[in-house]
Amino acid sequence: MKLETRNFYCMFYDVIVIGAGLAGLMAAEAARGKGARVLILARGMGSLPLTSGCIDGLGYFPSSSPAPVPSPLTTLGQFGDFQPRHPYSKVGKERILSALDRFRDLTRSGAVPYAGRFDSNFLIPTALGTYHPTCLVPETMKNGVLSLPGRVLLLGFEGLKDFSAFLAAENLNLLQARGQIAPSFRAKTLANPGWGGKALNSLNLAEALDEEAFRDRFARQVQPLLKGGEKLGLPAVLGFRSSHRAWTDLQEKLGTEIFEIPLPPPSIPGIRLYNLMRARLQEKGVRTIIGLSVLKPMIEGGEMRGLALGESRKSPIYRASAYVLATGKFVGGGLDAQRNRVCETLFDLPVQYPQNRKEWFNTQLLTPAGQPFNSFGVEVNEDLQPIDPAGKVVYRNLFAAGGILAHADSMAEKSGGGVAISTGYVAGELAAKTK
Amino acid sequence: MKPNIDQCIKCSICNVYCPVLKATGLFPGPKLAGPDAERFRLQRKAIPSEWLEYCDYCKICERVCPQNVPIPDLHIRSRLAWKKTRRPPFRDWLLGHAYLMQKLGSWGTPISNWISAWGFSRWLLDRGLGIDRRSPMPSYRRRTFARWFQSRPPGKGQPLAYFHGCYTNYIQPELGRALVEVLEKNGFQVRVPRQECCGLPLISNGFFGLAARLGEKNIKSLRKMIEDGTEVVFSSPSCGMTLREEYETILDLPGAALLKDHVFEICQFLLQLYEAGKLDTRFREIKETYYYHVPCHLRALKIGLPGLELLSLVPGLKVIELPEGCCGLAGSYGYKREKFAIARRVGKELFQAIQESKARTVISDCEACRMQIAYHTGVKTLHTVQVLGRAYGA
Repeated sequence: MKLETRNFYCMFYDVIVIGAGLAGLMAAEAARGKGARVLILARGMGSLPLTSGCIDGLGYFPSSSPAPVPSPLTTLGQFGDFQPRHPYSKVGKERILSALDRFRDLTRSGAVPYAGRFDSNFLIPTALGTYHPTCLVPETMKNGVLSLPGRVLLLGFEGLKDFSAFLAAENLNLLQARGQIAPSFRAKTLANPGWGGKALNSLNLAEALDEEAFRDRFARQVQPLLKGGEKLGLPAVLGFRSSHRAWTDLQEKLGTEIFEIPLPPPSIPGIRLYNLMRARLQEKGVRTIIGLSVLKPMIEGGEMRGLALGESRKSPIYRASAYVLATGKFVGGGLDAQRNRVCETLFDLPVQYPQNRKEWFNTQLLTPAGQPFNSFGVEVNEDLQPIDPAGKVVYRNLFAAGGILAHADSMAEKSGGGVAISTGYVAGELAAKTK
Repeated sequence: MKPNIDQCIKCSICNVYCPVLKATGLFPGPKLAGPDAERFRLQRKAIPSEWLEYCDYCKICERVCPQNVPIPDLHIRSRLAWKKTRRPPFRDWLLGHAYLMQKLGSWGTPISNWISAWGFSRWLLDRGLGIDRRSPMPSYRRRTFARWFQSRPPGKGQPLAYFHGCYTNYIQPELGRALVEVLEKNGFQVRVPRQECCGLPLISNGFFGLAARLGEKNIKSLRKMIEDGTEVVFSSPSCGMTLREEYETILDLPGAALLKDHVFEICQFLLQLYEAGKLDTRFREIKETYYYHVPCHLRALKIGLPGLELLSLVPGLKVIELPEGCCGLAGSYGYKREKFAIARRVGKELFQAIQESKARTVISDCEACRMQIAYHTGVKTLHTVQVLGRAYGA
């Protein structure tokens, strides 16, 4: 690994990014790209390991619509009229496209190249055998696209509790019978992958598949199960450190197309993406400090002056010219709900939510219309600066990105990755320009 | 303080980054051994506890947890409860009392060093006690830091207490000397209060009672200093973590809360000086490239990376942060025969990164990391303060 050799000014950076999820990492990437010295401070690892690793652009619009959006880009044309306060409307088409291009280039320069564009959605299979509209996927998943006809063998591992090949195949075949997807599926389970003493979980499997010797044994076990012309679908465990190589190699060994299906957390593709971006940032000299349970903002004269790493007056203080808030919503810890109030946890910024508590929830947990609380968040202007209800910028040098922003329900509309990347990118660039 | 396990949302991020889980099948991972198993323990249902022996207490799980679940706390408390039901092996007692061995070793030099370097005695320790004969055995020094300190005339200036810990005292007194020189350069009169081992080796080997006794003595002695208006600094992140965190959260010692506000990691303390414009920054140029390994227990202090920040003040010096990871030694963990190979696997990625970087000198603030890195990669190791000492021209 190549490591950055330049020195930094003591305790003073150009940009401090708060949060190590996709939006935070992208903001750091963009700010560093503009030459800024960047520090990332975060409470925990960020939520990439909880995601599928796919970048959703816009899956459903309006979110209760039963049919997926064919092209996020085209739909975005009508978007501004319906949802003028949505983060996408604030960032605008051009900046979204250039941010996603930048993201794709970044992954293609590393070991986890992504395929796809914002112009069109892929439908990819889920572990439960449904389809999921998304626009950028790791190359290791692209052969699973459900618009391509053909026959697929879904292979599970006996004892891997996060994936049942039979359940997935049965559900996908129902979709095929209804004409919603093209390919047909068949399921098999591998009883003994030639395993040592370790527990059978996705992480251990992925690490084993990094090894060529294990892949050889694996390919010999799988070969007799495959019928001629069949594609192979596997749970997303195809390598941890060198997934792309593992995937290419296994396709050659088996002589057929292979694809991965994302699993519930901890998601290997999500971790691959996190590790890729984190390593790249470290190479470029971006420092990351994770595990900070207390961050105390220091505010003076309408701007952010620093972040103290504790409550005591002697706690170390990191300072910067500009700050990017990318702490996510409730799971990430950026928002917190009390009995009658929803608050932003770090600066107590004004949060957009209905005063009547009954309007926070939909009584049906899983409804296509989504849960109202998933769109709560911080209101920003077009430069992604948090604003108060009167429209006034709260702190001159504070920007916000990703899940913390109001008016995007990434769960229902399937837009999480695209919003994180585009707002992170824009916030990072604007922060780098702030003196 | 009872840790709240309901904060855990079962995301398994801790398992992903647990270095021990990756290195061995004997540990089921922090999530299962911590918050998951705790539900059984709370209901007094049977759940295996042997696996807790394999946690190396690096606290990475706590750091990566997005919900701030105090997983290492759960591990160490349940380990204590389990240890109470059985007799610990003599080996664990001995490793817990590393400070006694070091005292004896220092008193008995050079004979003690011959013995500890001698293949036959290492074989005996290995076969007889289970202390792995390949583990990095330190070489003791007769002239301890404390003795050197007493022999010199007291300095002038604002008093500041130094908790040097056992390793600096018996094995690396030159680190203590460098620290005293750096502080004197900045106008402090260093004082060395009466001190015992911080107790971390006893805690991690399950002897909480004995650790608490040492802790009480340390609190008593440091408290006197603090009440006189003297602050305390430490150079070992592990000792410091014990003083600042474990005395309060694990050992529940009275008076421990006082330490949190007055005991500082040395680089954090120097950064405070810098912040106040009081640090002497007339550093001499050092035209070198050093690599820096951040110890897990320094990260666990949640004070950022003060060493890295300070070193950026030295002109000409290039300091490159190594990829984040645990070295594996974890105090006495890597000395145990059944764990030596696990400890080596834990540190493998770090060792590889050091070897690939062709680094010749690695800086790390923790003595265990320095020993383990030097042993497995052959590089020279330094503490941040030693580098600053050189930059002051010492």
